[in-house]
Amino acid sequence: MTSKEQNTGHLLRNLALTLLGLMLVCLVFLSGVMVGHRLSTAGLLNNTSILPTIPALEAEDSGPDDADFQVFWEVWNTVEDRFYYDLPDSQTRMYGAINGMLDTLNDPYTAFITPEAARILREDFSGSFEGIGAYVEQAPEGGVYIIRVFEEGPAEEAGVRAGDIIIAADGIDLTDMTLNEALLHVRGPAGTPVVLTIVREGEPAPLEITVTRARLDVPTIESRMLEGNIGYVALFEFNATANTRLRNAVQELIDQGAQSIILDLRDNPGGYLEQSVDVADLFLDEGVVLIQRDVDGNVREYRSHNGDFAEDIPLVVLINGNSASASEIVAGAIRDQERGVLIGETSFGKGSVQLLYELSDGSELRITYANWYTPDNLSISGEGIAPDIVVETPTEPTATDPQLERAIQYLLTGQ
Amino acid sequence: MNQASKEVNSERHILHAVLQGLVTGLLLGAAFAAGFLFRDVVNRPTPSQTSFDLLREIDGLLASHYLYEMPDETTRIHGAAAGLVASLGNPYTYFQEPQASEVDTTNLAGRFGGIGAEIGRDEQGRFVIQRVYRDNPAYNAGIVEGDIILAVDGVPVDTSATDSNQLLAAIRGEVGTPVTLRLQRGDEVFEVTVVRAEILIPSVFWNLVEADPRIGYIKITSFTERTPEELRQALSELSTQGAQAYVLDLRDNGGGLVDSAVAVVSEFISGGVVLYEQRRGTGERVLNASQGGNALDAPLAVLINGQTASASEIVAGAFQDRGRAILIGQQSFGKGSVQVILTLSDGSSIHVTTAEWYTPNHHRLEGQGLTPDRTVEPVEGRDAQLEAALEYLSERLALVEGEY
Repeated sequence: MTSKEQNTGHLLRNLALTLLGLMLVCLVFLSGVMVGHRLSTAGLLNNTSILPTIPALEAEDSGPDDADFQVFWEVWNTVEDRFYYDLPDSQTRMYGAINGMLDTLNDPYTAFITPEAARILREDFSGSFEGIGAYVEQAPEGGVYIIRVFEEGPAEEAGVRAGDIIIAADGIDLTDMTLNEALLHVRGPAGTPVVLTIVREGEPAPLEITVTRARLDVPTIESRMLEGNIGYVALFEFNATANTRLRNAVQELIDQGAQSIILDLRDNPGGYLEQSVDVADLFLDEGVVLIQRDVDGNVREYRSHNGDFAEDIPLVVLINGNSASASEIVAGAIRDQERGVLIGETSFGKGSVQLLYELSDGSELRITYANWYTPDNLSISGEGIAPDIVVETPTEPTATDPQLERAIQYLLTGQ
Repeated sequence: MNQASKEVNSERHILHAVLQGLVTGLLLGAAFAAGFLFRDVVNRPTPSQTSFDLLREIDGLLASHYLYEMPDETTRIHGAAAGLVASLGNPYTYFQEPQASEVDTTNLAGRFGGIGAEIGRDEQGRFVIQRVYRDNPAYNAGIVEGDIILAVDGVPVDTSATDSNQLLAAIRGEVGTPVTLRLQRGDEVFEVTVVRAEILIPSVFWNLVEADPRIGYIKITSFTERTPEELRQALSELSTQGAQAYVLDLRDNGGGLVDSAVAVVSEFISGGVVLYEQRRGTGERVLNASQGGNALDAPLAVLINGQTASASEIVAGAFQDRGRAILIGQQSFGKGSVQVILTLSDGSSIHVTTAEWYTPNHHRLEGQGLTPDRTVEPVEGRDAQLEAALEYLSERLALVEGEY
């Protein structure tokens, strides 16, 4: 071989080797990707991010095989391939699937909550929020309908009125959104302004009102002194601040000379279970508040303890057909421990407990996982708690409050 | 010297080899690690993949923690499928569980085992023969409209029944088996035994107009596989009887097979566009009329109303846009979307809107419908819409006959 041919031979050989080397490196790189991906989908790498609020239960990997979801995937693919119109995005479709699956359970309390709704609800139940200060609902034709404005809140001060419909916030059209999505645009950090486009009856064109948001308390408590040194306190919901605010209110009433307490739980739809236990504890000495039994047969007792400042003061609890869940826990404990008198109407009858899971994308799953029972081990599901003294709610609005008056009468006369 | 340097060289070679091995190993290890770390960038999960994990996550949580008795896996998955389809927000696109699927296909084919008559009720609640289908067992046995049914196979008819389902179930049965009906006609009560046959539900009914025998009245109730054949029979009979113009009544016709609709149009128009079909992605498809129609020149009026839908609107729209006929009556329903029924691996099915139809002038039917050339509202006690059609055709015939 000549030297030149040798060199060419060398070059070619080196080239081939280099190429082979590169191919090998790529192959190894890709195998790294594959292995990483496999481990990932098997859940061994990711945090499955399930944060229950009550007992730490773990999601077993007892879910269905992909084979069981075969038909679901057929439907998914068919829709993507064949549907004539524009498809909603895949997240919307998947949320639709989730809701469809939950519908088969026929349990209104087991529900899926989108990330937007979850944020709003979490904020609401924290006891305070940052926004404009109004009670709202969805307007029939879209937009946010103002039921009432908070007294002396930012909305009222800026001139927003009951009956107004907010159709845009900072120029963003709200009329196509769900209420919770819309609220995410209306609410915002305290101190920041938002320009609301408002439709008001009698005004020919929409108004623009700028509101400076503030941090506001979710209305939770109302209290005042009544005749005969009776302290009256109404609790609207068992949000995260319920116990603290209630204790402050009751302490204040006692400081003002209250010698008996009326705890008004009418129209209180419930809330956090722990809050209800703490509220009951204020009035109860050592004993059981509720017993919880879950799907696995686990039994858990929640107890009250001695040492709180309202364990002896004469007590009446007002309930009606809308007093539910956490309200019924309190009423049931007070009844079974013979601590006080229940006046009003039979309560709602919600004796189930939901677990709140925050899911990986910020959405929330509420699952009915347990029933609770009163200290005497009675289930109130579907039946509610019957008051000791029955006073019906008037069918038409009246100037007087017969249930409250009966409570006052009982405390003053003992009958 | 050579020996020593050879030994030194081979030591160096070994050293080289080891170093090379180490470097290669490190390099490959680094490549693997890089692939591992960048797995998500390289193989980004699709949105449906990540949110499907959510569905499985939730299904798993339910299986573990839900307090009450859960419906079985299949029901849950069907629920998810139904919810998925519902999220599309299209009323004609929906998921159907296995048992319900079977009913659809039989209706469009048009067959079952019976005697070939329609049954209704009179003011006294008695069950009455309302219509007899030509050339079917009841017709051949001499049963006519107006006969009152007193008993079936000896069992008296229950006139207190809320609907006719039980009666129909007794009359229908396996093809080839007999059924005996006790009937009342006027004062006469008699029995007749009929052998059940596979009844081909007619979709076309026709007669010569009594008030003007130059006009043939043809009613099409739906577009089935047999409609074109029945229409040809109608045209043949009516033209033999002297019809020179036609009223085509599509009122309350909810639609049916598009091929059937095109064939119907082809009886009256030779060639050219009947409709356009638009699917996502594949562009436009044209359906043309065929040749060889039997009524290409006769003046034609088409009756439509608010229940005239889908394939009926294709027919009426083609006639209107091609200038072949005028439409008389009320605005039609406005359904120009096309659905297919797809069966899935476990017997469930999905109805999905896959296309939309447009008339020859590219008028969109969906949500809009057709506007009649002459609007005539229904009137109590007489058929004002038919009367208007007859008036129009009479005028046209006068022109044809040269009376100016």
